[in-house]
Amino acid sequence: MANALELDAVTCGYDAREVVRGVSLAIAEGDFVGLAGPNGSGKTTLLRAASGVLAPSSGTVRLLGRDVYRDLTPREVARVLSVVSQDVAVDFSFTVEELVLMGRTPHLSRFGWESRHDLEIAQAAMAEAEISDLADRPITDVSGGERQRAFLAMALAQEPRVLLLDEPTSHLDLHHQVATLSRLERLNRRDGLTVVTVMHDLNLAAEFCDRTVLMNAGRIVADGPTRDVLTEEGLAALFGTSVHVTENPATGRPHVMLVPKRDGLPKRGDLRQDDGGQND
Amino acid sequence: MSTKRRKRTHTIVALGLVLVAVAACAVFVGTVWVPPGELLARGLGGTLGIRLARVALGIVVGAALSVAGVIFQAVLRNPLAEPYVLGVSSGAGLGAAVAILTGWSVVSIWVLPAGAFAGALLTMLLVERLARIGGRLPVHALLLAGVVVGAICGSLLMFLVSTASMESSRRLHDIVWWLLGNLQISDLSLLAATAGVVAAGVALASVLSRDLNLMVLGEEPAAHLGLGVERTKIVFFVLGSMLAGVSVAACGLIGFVGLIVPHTMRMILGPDHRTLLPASALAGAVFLVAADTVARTVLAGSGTELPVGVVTALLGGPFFIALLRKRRAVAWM
Amino acid sequence: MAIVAVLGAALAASMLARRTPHGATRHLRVVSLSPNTTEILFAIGAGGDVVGVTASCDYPPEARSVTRIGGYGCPNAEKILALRPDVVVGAGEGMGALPAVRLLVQRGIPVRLFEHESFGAILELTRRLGEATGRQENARRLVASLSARLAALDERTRNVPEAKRPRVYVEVWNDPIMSIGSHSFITELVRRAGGASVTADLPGDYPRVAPELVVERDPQVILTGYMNDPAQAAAVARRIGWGRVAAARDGRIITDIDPDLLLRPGPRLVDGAEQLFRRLYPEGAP
Repeated sequence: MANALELDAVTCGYDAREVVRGVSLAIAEGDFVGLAGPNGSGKTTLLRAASGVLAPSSGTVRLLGRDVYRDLTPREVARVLSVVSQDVAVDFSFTVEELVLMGRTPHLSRFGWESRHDLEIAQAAMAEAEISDLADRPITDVSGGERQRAFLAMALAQEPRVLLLDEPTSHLDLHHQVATLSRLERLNRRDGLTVVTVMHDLNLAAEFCDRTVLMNAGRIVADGPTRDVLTEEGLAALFGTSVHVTENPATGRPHVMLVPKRDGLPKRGDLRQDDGGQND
Repeated sequence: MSTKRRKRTHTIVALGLVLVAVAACAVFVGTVWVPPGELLARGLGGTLGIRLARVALGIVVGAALSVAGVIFQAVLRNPLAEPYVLGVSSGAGLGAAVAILTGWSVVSIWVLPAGAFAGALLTMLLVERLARIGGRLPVHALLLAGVVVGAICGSLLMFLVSTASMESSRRLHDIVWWLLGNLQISDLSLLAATAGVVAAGVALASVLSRDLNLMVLGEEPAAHLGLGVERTKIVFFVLGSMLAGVSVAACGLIGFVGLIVPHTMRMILGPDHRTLLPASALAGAVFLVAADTVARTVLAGSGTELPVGVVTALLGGPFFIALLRKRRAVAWM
Repeated sequence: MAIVAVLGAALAASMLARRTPHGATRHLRVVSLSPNTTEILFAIGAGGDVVGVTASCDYPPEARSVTRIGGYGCPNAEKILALRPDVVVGAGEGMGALPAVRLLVQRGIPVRLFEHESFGAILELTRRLGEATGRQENARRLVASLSARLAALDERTRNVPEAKRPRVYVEVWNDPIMSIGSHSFITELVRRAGGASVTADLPGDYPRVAPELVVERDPQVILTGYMNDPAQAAAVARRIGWGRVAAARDGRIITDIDPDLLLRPGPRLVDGAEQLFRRLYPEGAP
């Protein structure tokens, strides 16, 4: 069986500047992969290449065995793969429902309008993303978190087999962070949805991603089961800061803790004795 | 969604009825007062024929400019976009000025529109060539190229105007008259040709209007939803430029229609282009026919007419301000 | 005081010398800023004095070889000054405001500008040019001959009742459509030729007209002042809505009168009036 998504020695970038160098990555169907790394390591660029909007200067990208840039039209790609981007600029006043319905476009006939079936799928997607009550609100009238969920619903309405996400929880509060990823986990386990998500929050990634890929300076530096990849040495080298990795007592998943260096810094109480309360 | 489709049909039918009503009134009014009964009794020749042709051209050009405005606002994702933003009008103006100043425009009624259209076409090709970066047509490059080419054509036009002598003073007057835009049409075949091109363009744009919804989301989201973005951009660029070019060739520079009508209709009907585009075509037709009616009657005492471009500017501005104040425009789109 | 007297005498003497029609000590140097003043200067025998004309000055043929000083309405002050004119003449509205003309006045060059929007004004213009060039006698004779011809024409047309006068539409430009208004000498010409301009009541000299106004007034004769090609004139009849106009139905669209005879306010305007009369009344006046 073909891999869901396969990148083979992909090099790509912008204006002759290479951002991703010779990356090879094979994602099997049903994988739940987290992609992490420092800023500028090429995560978003990699996602762009994988989703069919940034043609690599060398290497191939295959979706379910077929070359995305040579053998597939954008429509064929969109029927199988959908993307939730980071921070889409919103200067249009479509309602949430209209927006989610646009997710049905790859499945509509060339000049067709949405059918009742399409409407049902859109409504199901909105329910998944917990924004059904906002259906008639203009997208400009909702909060950042609600907007992110609306775009997630749009991506789900595409009925994808592969879902790529770029920082899907960056604007969400604690409840919605957990809820969104739990939702994705459910879709992954129940429906076999392949998920690849760029994550800033390593602990969230650790909780939900079976597999983690670490990137640095355009290359993959680690790729494997999350437990094996999130090591103290590896993370310290990658991010340039000390960490302590333990286990979440509730779930048994790895948990990354910060260890900021405080050598030579006076303790918080000491200053008060010296200058009679002027400093605080 | 069938309710949406139904709503669209209702809107279009309603606008169509308004258009018929406005056109009917326009035909009975003009520089010279002729009682309606007498006008109809005389048949299609004479004044009735003149007015019908004017109204027909107003419908055609009003629709063309509005649709071009909708297209450019969506593709360029810019609220200031309008049919002339990509330099087409300046190129057409230059072509028309050359036709007028060389004296060829007297030779045949087709020379002036042909010159203007040629200018529009060349401008379009030049802008496309300039804006091409690495096989793509980035929106910001299109805008920049359009503004630059427009400015160059504009300065060439100014150069021509300034060096023309008073011997060509009549020709200077022509150029100014043409630049103000007017709907005087005297050749039936020209009217038919313009109407044909516009009808085809508006029909094609309506059929493709769903793609504009996707373009508005942004190029990357649109691509992720399955749109061939580069190809779509080119198709709409050509479509919009042709609609604008043929309008300018036929009537000169009628401004404001292509900016105001899309915004107004979007405020009333929402941003779904499957409704917005055909509705804007009809609304633009209504607007221009109404403006031309005013242009034909306001100076009736001296037996002359105002150029319709003057009226659209004077009518359009305040109308738009009033609408802006009524609705809290958070997002312009 | 004595110096002034001597200078004054010298000046008078030189002016007298110039004014002597025969064997003048030196020729007057005249620059003409308009085609009609050029025509009149040649017509009164002062053609030899003309040292500069506009690019539009094409009649008589001798005028074509005179140095060009710019376009009509756009004269070049430097070129004029280089010709060291004694006097600069011109006719036409707004001439006085031209920057080149103002410059000449500043430099002390005598500039004589004239009206020409009626036959009376044109005859007066002829007389004054005669005075300015010392050709009073020639000018007087020319004015007399033109007046006589005009009088003869008047005889035949003055008493034609309004209803019998052919309705004439004169179009001076086609895009925008421009015709002759109450102040244009062409309106007077049409009247003298026995016609009645359908746009005679419109204010101004060359107003823009609404097409339906012309069509409603149903002219019987159409004159185009900007094109002579009969095929092109037929285009006027083919305009949307113009097919019903009497002139179009009867094919009375006149294209074979030289436009300069109708549009240039000079001596040939009388020729134009006479030719138009013959076309309006092919069987003679009623």
